[in-house]
Amino acid sequence: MKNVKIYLPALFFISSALLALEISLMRVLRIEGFGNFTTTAIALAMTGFGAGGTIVFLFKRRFSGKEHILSMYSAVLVIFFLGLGYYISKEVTFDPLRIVWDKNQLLRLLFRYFIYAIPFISGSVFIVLAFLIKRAGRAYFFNLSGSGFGIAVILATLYFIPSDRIFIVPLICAFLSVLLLYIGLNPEFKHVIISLILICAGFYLFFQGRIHILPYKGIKLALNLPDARIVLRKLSPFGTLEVVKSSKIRKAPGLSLAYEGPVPKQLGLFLDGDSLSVIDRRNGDETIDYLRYQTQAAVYELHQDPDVFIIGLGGGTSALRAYLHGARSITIAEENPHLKQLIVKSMTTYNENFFSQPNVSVVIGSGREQLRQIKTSYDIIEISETDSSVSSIGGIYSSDINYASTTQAFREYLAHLQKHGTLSVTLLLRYPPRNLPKLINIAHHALRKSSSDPLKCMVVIRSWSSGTVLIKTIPFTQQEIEKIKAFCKRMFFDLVYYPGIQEGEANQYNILEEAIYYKITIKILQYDRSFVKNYPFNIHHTTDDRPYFSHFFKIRKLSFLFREMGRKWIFVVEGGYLVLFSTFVLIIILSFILIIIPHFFAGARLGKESIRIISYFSLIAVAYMFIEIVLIKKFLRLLENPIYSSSIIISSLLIFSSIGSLKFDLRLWRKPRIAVYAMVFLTGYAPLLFIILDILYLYLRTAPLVLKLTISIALLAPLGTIMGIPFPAAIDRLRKRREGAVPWAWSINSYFSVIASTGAVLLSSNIGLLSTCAVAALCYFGAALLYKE
Amino acid sequence: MLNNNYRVVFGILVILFVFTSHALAGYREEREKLVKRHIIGEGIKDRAVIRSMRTVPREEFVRPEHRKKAYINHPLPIGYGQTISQPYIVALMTELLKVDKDDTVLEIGTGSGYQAAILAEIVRTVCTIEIIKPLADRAEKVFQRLYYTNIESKFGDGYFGWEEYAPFDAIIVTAAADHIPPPLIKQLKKGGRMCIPVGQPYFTQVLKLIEKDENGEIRVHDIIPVIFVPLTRELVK
Repeated sequence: MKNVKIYLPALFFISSALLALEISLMRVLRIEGFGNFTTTAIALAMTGFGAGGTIVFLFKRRFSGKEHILSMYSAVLVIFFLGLGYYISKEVTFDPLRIVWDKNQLLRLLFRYFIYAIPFISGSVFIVLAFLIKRAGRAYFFNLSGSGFGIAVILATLYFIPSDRIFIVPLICAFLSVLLLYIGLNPEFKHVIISLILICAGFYLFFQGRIHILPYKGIKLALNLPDARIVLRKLSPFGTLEVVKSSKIRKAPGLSLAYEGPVPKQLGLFLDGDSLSVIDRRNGDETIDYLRYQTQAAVYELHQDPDVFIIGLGGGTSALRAYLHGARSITIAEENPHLKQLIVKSMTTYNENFFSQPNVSVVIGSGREQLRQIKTSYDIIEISETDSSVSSIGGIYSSDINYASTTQAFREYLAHLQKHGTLSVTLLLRYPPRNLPKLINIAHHALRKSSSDPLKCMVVIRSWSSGTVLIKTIPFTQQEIEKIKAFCKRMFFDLVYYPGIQEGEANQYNILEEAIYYKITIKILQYDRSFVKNYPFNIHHTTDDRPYFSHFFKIRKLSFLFREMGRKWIFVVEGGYLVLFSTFVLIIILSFILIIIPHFFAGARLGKESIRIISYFSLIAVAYMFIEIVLIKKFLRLLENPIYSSSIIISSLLIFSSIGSLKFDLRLWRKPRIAVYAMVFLTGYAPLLFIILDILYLYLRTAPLVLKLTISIALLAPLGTIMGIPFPAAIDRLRKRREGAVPWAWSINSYFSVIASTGAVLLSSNIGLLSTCAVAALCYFGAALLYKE
Repeated sequence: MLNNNYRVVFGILVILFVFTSHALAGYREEREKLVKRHIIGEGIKDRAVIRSMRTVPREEFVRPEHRKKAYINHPLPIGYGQTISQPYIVALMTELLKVDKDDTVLEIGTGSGYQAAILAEIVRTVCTIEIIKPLADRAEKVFQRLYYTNIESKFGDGYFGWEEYAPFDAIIVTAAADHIPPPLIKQLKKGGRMCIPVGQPYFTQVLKLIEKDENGEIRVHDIIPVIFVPLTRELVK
C-alpha cells in the first residue's frame, strides 16, 4: 500500500466538512421551518457516521487494497450528495404541522432524513478507512482537530454567508480534501474524469437549490402583506435578525379590550424568520399609550418614578413602557449584541432617539450577570416574554436551557430589589394551562427560600392571552392590592391571585369554563406537592441543575394525554418533547439493527468478545457525549451566554482530545494500562469538575469574561486530553487482535454518540445535570472494567 | 334526423352530465356523512348552521388538488400560509355567533371564502375583508360562481373593520390575531358577539368569544373545542 503523506490532511478536511455540514444543516432546517423535527433530522443524519462504519465492516474484503481511491470517492460523494440533497429539499418540501393527518408528509420527512444522511455515510467511510490504514491515535488526531476546524470555520462564516448558501462551507472543505488526495494519489485519468463530473454536478445542484421556507413562518406571513419589505438583515451565529417594514404590522399581545385608541405603526423584528417582536414607529404626536393597557403595566401602578431593570430588550417595547410611566432610570440587559445595535439604530429614526437619553442604558449580557455586576437595587425588575421573544438566542445556539427562569435566578432578582420593589414576569398563556402554573411554582419556591411568605407576597393577573406574576419580598399592602384590583377592573383583566382573594373574584372578564388558574395557583401556594406531582404536565419548579422551563411533557402521563387528547392532538400541545423522545427510541432501534445484523452478515457470532466490544465502545461514546452536552449546559451558567459555552466546550474538548490521542500515538503515554488509568481519572474528574464549577461560580460570577474563559479552558484541558485516549487505545488493541472489527467498533461508537446526544437532554431534564454527569462517569468506570490489555 | 356531428356532441354531453351528476352526488354523500359524524355528532345543535353545512359545497373552496379531501374533518392549506378551517371549527364558530336572517356579519380574513359562504346561507349580509390580494380575488370568483349575492367582499386591511356597513351584529376574525383590534370592538353592536380562534396554523386550541353587553361592557369566554374538553376537566382534579 502506498504511503500517501497527504492522506491525513485530507482526513482533516473531510472531518471539518462533516462537522460544518452538521451545524449548517441545523441552520438550514431551522430556517426552513422543520421545527421540532430538526433534532430528529440531525440525529438521523448523524447515524450516517455509524452507517459508514457498517458499510466498511461488511465490504472490508472488497475494499482491501483500494482504501485510498475509495477515500477519494467518499469525499467526492460527500460533495455530490450534499448538492443533490439541497436541490431535492427545494422540491420535496416538508410541512411538520400537517404530519398529524397527512401521511404523505411522513414519507417526505423520511425521504429528507435519508437524503441528509448520505453525505455523512460517505464521509464516515473515509474516516473509517483512515482508521484501517493509519495508526489510530494519529487518525483520531486529524479527525478531531479537523472537526474543531470545521466548527471554527462555520462560526466565522455565519457572520457573512446567508443561511441559504451556508452549505458552501462543507462543500469547500470536502473539495479541499479531494484536491489533496488528487495531489497525493495522482489517480488514473478515468477516476479524475468521473470525480470531476460528480463534483461539478454537486456544485451545480447546490447553486440551483434554495431554502423553501414554510409559508406560515412569521416572516413569510409578514411578507404577504401588501407593502411589506425587508429593510434590514443582520447575520451572525446568534441567528439571522430581519426587520420587516409594512404599514399593516401591528402587535400588542394581550391588549386590553378597554383600549379604544390606535396602535402605532410598527416594524416587525424576526429571529430566524420567527419570534416576532415589534419596534414601535412613533413619530411626532403619535401615541404609544396602548402600552399602558397590557398586563405588564400593572407593576407601574405600584411605583412612582421607579428605577427599572429590564431583562431582554426585544423590540424595545418594555423600555418604552417604563419611559411612558415616568421611570427615573431604565437599564436593559440583552444577550444578543447585534439586537442591541439594531434596536438602538432603529430608535434613532423613531421614538425620538430614545436610547440616547442619559437615564436609559443597554448592557450586554444576561440579566443575572448584569445584576451582579451593577450591584444596584431596583424598584422594578421586569421580564416579559411577550415583549422580548426575539431576545432569545437563535442560530446554532438556540437552546432549551433557561437559566433566567430558575428558582435560583428568581432569588437573585428578589435580592436586587429595593425594600418595596417588585419583580414582574409576563408570559403568553399556553393552553392547556402549564407555563403560568410553572412560573407561579418557581416564584413560590424562590419566595420560600428567601424566607418570604408566598401567600402574602404574590399577585397574579391575566388578560385574554397573557399572564403576569408580581412578586415582592415583603407582603403586598392593602393599598397596593386595591391599586391592582382597580387596574384590572379598568382593563377588563382577571385577578388570578392576590392575598385574600375569594374564588368568586377570579374569572370575571376572560371567562374559562371554571376558575382553573385560580384553583391551580391556590394548590401550588398551599404547597400541595401531590397536585404538582399528578398534574398532567410538568409544572415542577426549575432549578439551576434542571433549567428546562419549556419542558412540560411527562413521559408517565403519555398514555393519559394520548387518550384524552384524541390520540393525535398531543402533538400540537407538546410536540417538541414527544418528537425528542420518539427520536431517541427510533435511533436506539435503528442502531441495534445496524449493529447486530451486519455482524451476522459478516459471518461473525455474537460471542463474549463481540459483546465486550459493543459494551466498551457504547459506554465510552455515551460517556463522551453526556459529558460534552451537560458541560455545555453547565458552563452556560458561568459564561452566561450560549455562544461562549457551546463554542468553548465543543472546540476545547475536540482540540484537547486530539492532543490526547496524538500523545498516545507518539508513545508519550503508551504505558501499560494507560487507557484504564485514563478512564478511572475521568470517572473522578468529571463529577469533580461539576462541583468545582459550582464553587467557582460563587467566586467568579462577577469576574471579567476573559478570566472566566481562561479558567474554563484550563479546567477543560485535562478532561479533554484524557478523553482522547480511550477510543484510539481500544482501536489499536482491536487492530492487533481482530482487525476486521475496527469499522464495526467505529459504527458502534458513532451510533451510541447519537443516542447519547438525545438521551443526555432527556435524562438531564428528569434527573438533573449533576446526576447525568455521574451517569457518564459510571459509564467510563464500566468501560475501564471492560478494557483488556 | 340528427347528423353524425350532432350525435357526437350529444353523446359527449350525456357522458359529461352523467359524470358530473355522479361526482356531485359523491360530494353530497360525503358532505352528508361529515355533517352527521363531525357536525351533529360533535355537538352542533343550531339547525340553521347544520342546514348551511349541508348546503355549501366545500369542494369549491379548496385547491383543485385537495378536492378529494374536501370532506375530511381537517383544515387544508390554501396558499400564502393560510388554511381553510376544519369544518367542525367553522360550524362551531358560526353557532357561537348566534346569528339569524336579519343580521349583518363582518368577517376579517376571507381566506378561501368558505366561512363567509356558510354565514351567507344564514344571515342577510356578510361583509368580508382579505388582506392578501390573490386570496381575495380567488374568493370573489367563487362567490360569483356560486351566486352568493349577499356577500360583500373587498381586498384591504381588516384591522380597521368596514365603517360603511358598521355596526355589525357579529364579527368573526379568522386571521391569526394577538390582540383584538380596537376599531372592531367599536364596530360591534351592543349585544353583539365576536369570535376569534387561537392556536397555531391548522390547529384551533381555543376559541375566544367576545360579548358586548347592552351597557357596552366586554366579556371574553374561552370556548374549548370538544377535542380538548376531557383534559381540562382532569387538570384540577
